[in-house]
Amino acid sequence: MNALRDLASRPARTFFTVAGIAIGILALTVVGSLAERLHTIVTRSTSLNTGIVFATIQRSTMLSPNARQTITRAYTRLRALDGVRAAAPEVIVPYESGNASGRFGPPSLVFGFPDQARALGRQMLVVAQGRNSAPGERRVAVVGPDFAAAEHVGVGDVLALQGNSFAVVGVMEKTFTIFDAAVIVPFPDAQDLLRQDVPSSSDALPPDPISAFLVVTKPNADVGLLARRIALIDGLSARDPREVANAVRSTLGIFDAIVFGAALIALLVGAFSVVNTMTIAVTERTREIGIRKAIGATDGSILLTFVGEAATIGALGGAVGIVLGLAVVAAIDARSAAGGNLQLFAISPTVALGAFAFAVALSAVAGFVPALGAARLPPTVALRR
Amino acid sequence: MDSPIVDVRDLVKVHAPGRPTEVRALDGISFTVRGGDYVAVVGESGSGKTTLMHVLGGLDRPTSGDVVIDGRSLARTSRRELAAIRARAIGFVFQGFNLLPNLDARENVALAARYAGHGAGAASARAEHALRDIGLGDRMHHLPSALSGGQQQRVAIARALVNEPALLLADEPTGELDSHTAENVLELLGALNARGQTLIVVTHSEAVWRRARRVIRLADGRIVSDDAP
Repeated sequence: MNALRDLASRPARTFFTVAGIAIGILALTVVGSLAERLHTIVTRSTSLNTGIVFATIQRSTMLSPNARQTITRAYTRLRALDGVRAAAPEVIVPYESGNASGRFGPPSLVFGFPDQARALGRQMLVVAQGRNSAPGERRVAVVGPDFAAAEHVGVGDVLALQGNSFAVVGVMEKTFTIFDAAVIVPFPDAQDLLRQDVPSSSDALPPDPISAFLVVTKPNADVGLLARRIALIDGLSARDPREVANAVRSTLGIFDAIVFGAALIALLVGAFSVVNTMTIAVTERTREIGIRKAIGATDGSILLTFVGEAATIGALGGAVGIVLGLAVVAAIDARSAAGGNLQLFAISPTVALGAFAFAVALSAVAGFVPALGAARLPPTVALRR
Repeated sequence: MDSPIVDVRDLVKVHAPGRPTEVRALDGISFTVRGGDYVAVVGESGSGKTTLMHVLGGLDRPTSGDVVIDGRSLARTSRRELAAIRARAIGFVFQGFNLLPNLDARENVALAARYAGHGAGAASARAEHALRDIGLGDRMHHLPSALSGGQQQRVAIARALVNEPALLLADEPTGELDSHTAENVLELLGALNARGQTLIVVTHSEAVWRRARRVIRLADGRIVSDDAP
């Protein structure tokens, strides 16, 4: 309380020092929320693909004259591999029209997979509004929440996919994966779209084309070894999902280091302003320090007074910075959501409380040296000023 | 009027020892002050009055010799113990009042009680009692800037007395007051002494030292006389 009053007695200096800390904390909140969201995306994606190897069919294979035989043979060999529990075909077609093609985030894709794929590895795709497609139902679509926002479609609307009309029957729950921007249609409809997607000059596409196999591994199977064996099958390619995850984590680590480094530099500048402010405060209040000592203040209580004041600056700057940071990320996310873009920030109590605690601790540390100088001042020297 | 509250033994204080600017501010001073005494320390500027006050008040340490306040030696105490003695055994009244400008009268007085180890509630209660005792019960929530010079000095006296110290030290307590206000403050100090408060006043004002029962004259850091006014 007294610290607040002392700070209020020097409003301009306090304002600029608090602003310095607030800017640093704002930066830390924004990048912290960004990092939190990216980590959520990576974690969810990794969780989605745990125990799964994605075997894609090479486009050259798909368009070759004997595609059907090659794919059938690959499917047979794939299922025979040691460590494969099950495999299900999937169709993936790029979505290239409307607002979603220009959105920020992973590309929008149209998926089609048979019921067996849903039972094997796509069970986390839960419908939040409406319903799933019924067995045997055609020309219906379940869309991801980001796709719905970007295309302004909801349950009951009609969606055009490569000139074909699809009734939107459901909107999926947010998963923070590529499915948030995806459209899921019945498997035969997806195959029709895939046929439409290849060049018109090509007539080699098999009558029941597919683009990938969802391979579910047995428990304790060596996923990396399995991916390498799949890649050896004629017509298929596969990557070790752990390698992909590690590459993403490594990139994320570099990203974290850069953005947190930038935020910390901003905060350090703020901390130096605290040092400056507290040094001036100690100089200006030397006589007050002498009076306090004359009436019984110990070195420790003087130290606490000034460290408390520095910590109060940190608390004020931290609170203002967090509020501004949350406002900034909420505004950007609201704008992104309206445009169907990837929501970049995840606001969590960990980020907010962590940033606040860091602001207070950093300011207290910054104020420590000037406060120590004040505490060690001989009372007679202080009283003479 | 019996037990010694202050016992000064062969006190020497040298400023900047060994340097060209070395000053022997106090040069072998000895005296005792008994409980309930009213002592004035007088002397010309540079005679060592302020240095004596600082050493008596535990604000500065002697170069040699000792000062014993209420049975506690100041020469052989840690900084922390010295602070505790300043908080509990000594009350200071300064020439320039020296109130903290951001705290109101009650808070200024309570601060000294807090430093003496009282909790916030007890410190406030003590402060209110001390302020009422000197007739400032209606000025508790006034900032120093809203008080007259005389009122500010009374608040400073309340602050000095809030922990019921064995010794009240006053440095030119009327130096910044007009004659009428100074008279009121001196009457207050006299009343406190009449209630048994031991008082040492450092001054060069005759109006002040004439009220004391004992006057110690300093010159060049030595006692040149010690008797009744």
